[in-house]
This record gives sequence, C-alpha cells and structure tokens, in this order.
Amino acid sequence: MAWTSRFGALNLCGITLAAVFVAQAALACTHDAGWQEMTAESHNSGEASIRLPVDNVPLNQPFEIEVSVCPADGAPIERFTLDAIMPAHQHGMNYQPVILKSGDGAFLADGLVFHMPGIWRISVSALVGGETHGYFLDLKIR
Amino acid sequence: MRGLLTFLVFCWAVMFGASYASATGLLLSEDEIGLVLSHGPWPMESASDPSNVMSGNRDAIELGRKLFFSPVLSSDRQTSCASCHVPDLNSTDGLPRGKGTRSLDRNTSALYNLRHNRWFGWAGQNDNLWAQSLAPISHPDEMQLSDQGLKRSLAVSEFRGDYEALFGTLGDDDPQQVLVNVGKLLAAHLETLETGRTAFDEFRDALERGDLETAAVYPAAAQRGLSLFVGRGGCNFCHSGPLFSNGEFHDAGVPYFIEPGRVDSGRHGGIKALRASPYTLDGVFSDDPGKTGAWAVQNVITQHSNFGTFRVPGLRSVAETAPYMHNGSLSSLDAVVEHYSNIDMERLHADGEALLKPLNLNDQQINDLVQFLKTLSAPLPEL
Repeated sequence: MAWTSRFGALNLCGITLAAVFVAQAALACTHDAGWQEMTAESHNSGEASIRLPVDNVPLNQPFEIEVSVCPADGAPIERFTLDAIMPAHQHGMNYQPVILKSGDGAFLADGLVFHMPGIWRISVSALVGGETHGYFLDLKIR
Repeated sequence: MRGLLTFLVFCWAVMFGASYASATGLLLSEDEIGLVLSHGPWPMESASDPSNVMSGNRDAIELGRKLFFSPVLSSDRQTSCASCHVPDLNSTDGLPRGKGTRSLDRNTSALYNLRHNRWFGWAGQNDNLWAQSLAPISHPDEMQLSDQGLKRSLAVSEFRGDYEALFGTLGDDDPQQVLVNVGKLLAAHLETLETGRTAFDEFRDALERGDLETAAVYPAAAQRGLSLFVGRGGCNFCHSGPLFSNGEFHDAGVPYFIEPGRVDSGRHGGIKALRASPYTLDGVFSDDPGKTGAWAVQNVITQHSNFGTFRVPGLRSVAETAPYMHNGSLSSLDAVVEHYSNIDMERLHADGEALLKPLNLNDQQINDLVQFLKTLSAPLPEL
C-alpha cells in the first residue's frame, strides 16, 4: 500500500475521532508560557497553539493536552478534529482521545497515549467557513 | 529525582568523555546510557489492584495459591492451573502451544510480573488479572467447569471455609459471582509473583549513580548486545520501560496460520472478546467505583492493522521461558534474534509497523544480543 493511502486510512481514523463543535467567536491565540505554536499547513490558516503536560509527555500513559485555534479571519470553528501519528512508523494511536470544547476556539483532548518512543506528530484540523485548516506539531518522546 | 540523576550521568559523560568510559570497560555512548536508564528502576512501584478487593489480602493470597494447585477448579478433577503453568518449568509448559483437552492455539505464557500489565493474554482479551485468571476454568478446551459446577465443586472442597471467611456464605452467591471471586483469589496470588533484580539492573543503577567501576562488571558482550537493543536493532521501540514491553500489540512477522485454513486474528479478535466480556474494569464485577484503568477498554480503537498483532511480551527472565512467540514457533533466544535479523518483509502486515527491517546481524552480534537477554534473568519466585 502506498504511503499516502496508508495515511489516508489513518486520516479516516482521525475523522472518527472528530468532535463537532461550533464556536461562537474565535479569540486570539494564547502565547502564554507553556504553550507551543503549531505549524499551519497553509499560510492563510491563522494560528494554533498547544499546551502539553508540564512534566513532559509520558511514554505509554494517557495524558491530556489543550489546543487553541485562531483562524486568520476570526470566524467561528464549525468542526475540530485531532489525531496523532508516528510518521516514521506509519501508525497512529491505539486509543481514541476524548475531545471537549473548553472555550472559544479552545479544546481539551484527554486520553492520548503515545505507546512508543520516537517522533509523534499531533495534527489538528478546524473547519472554518466551509474550509478546513490544518496544523501540526512534532514531538520527540523518550 | 530520576531526571536529575539522568542529568548528572549525562554531565559526567560529557565532562570525562568516551576515552575514560572505554578505559573503565563501559562501551555505551551517552545517548545509549540515557536509553538504558529508561529500563528501570526495578522493582517497579506497585499498589493493590482497586478492581480486586482481595488484592494484597494475605489470606486471599494464600487461598489463591492453594486453588492454583488444586484440581477442584476442573471438571475432570485432575487438572489445575499448575498443570500448564508448571513450577519446574518456570510457570510455562515448555511446549510450543498449550495442551488442554486439545492442542491450544497459542503458547502458554509465564506468570511473572503480571500485575503491571494493561492487557492480558496474547491478544489482550482481558484488561485485568482476575478476568484473565478465571478464563481457563470454564474454557471448553481447558478446565471445562461451568459456573454452577465450580460452585458445587467448591462447596464440597476443603477450601469452603477459607472462601466463606473472605466472601461470606457460598450458598448465597450467584454462580457467576463465585467464578469472579475465584478469579480474584487466583489474581491475588499471581500478582505477588515478581522477578528479582538482575545483572542488568545492577548495571543500570550503577550508571544512574555514576558508579562506573560497578558498571564495568557488566560483561562486554552483554553491553554490545544492549547497544544493539537500544540502537540499530530498535528493539526498545516495543520492548520499552522496566518490563521491557510497552504492553501493546505488534506484528512480529510470525505466520498467521494456526493450521492450514485457520488463522489467528490476534488483537483483532482480542478486542472483540474484550468488548463482549462482562469482566472488564468498566463492568459490574470490578470492585473499584472509580473505575481506575477503565479508560483503556472504553477508548481502545479497532483498526484493520490489529489483525495478526500480538501483545509484546516482557523480557525479564525471558531466557527461562522458551519456546518463544505467540505460537511458540521459535525454540531458543538465538532463533528469536535470527528471526528478527532475517525478518520476512513479505509476511509483515501492509498496514503494520514500518519499523521492522532485516537487521542482517553477524554471528557475534546475534550472540551479543542473546548474552544481553540472559542478563535479564533473576531468581524466580516460587509459585
């Protein structure tokens, strides 16, 4: 199976992880200490940032993250999804995190489990005005 | 605290460099030392199992041990847990596949360090030790005793008094509850079976405290094998942490077929069985109102790539528990290392782990890895 189609399958898993939210209004992304900026997949996607556990991401144990998404035009987020994969290993997580909306443009994802050491990519997507915007952050887990 | 110690070892290594390390007999790089530290400390911290009210209860542990050796739990009154988990064979049966009333589909696993598992069985069909412990009692190919039969058998056994002292009057219990209670007694015993400290643990702890003189006692061949284990071999991606297992499920390139025309679906079937089980941490038989650990059964994902994957076994005392793999198809540690060295890429799952590649190890490297694995052996607890 081609690399891209494998990731297509992983993305389908990601869609099943989706939680659908409608934010009333998007606020500016936080740049407070402890937050890391995610990389936007498109230059017109605005910003997203992520807050990881204070004591590092644990190996093979559930943990929680916060994500703040700020579309460029400040429009409301109609749908938010989150997934994580190991690009070099071509697999994702074995457990489905629970995603909750915690504020305007803010989301809480609980129950992520990174079961192997190495590079994990956390990807989020936000549907805004009928257009999907993607963001990612790579983490090295030991 | 551990982070600080790791940092101190790192600083030490930076300050004094590899030349001093090699002069003291230490063959590992700074990065490798960091990875080695992640395989400890040992023993791990452990607490009572909140899902099992008998966990840690001394009377329950003793009764569980007696029941483990008793044929009272079988329909033929001749079979006990110890018939397959043989004390003289380090809690295995020494066979490729288990031997119940017919040849079973998988290898009989050893019973050490179980209390730290997230999943139980090669396919992870249970999420707790008491559920796994009760399974062979009613299994049609193993002890073949129904819930009602178990209650009747226990009622006329020498164990009735001890059982009632712990659970109350046997006659009042629903037969299914009796089965669960017996599972919890067996689990209370099994969770005490922990392997001791090993030559590897002495080496690892010496590195952590910067005691290179003690560390240098660890054999050079084992150090070279360990270097392969955490380095080029990539073994530690799955065999991680103090147990040398991440407790999850991977395709190790072992044939799917149990016999012509019949395949072992591994984790795929394990998740189906798990979801159908009344005995999970999320179920009514758990004694834990907080449902600690139930997140795993609640959130586990069914994936196509689960098919033909099996739980990564821990490696502590692995040299004492041959044969190996879920179907016992490899008779020795040498054979296991050679299997990974020459792994069949055509056999690996198309959606599976992309990590595995033939390692093409030479004879010395195979021997080094085996020598390292042998340093994970320790005095084993009595069953």
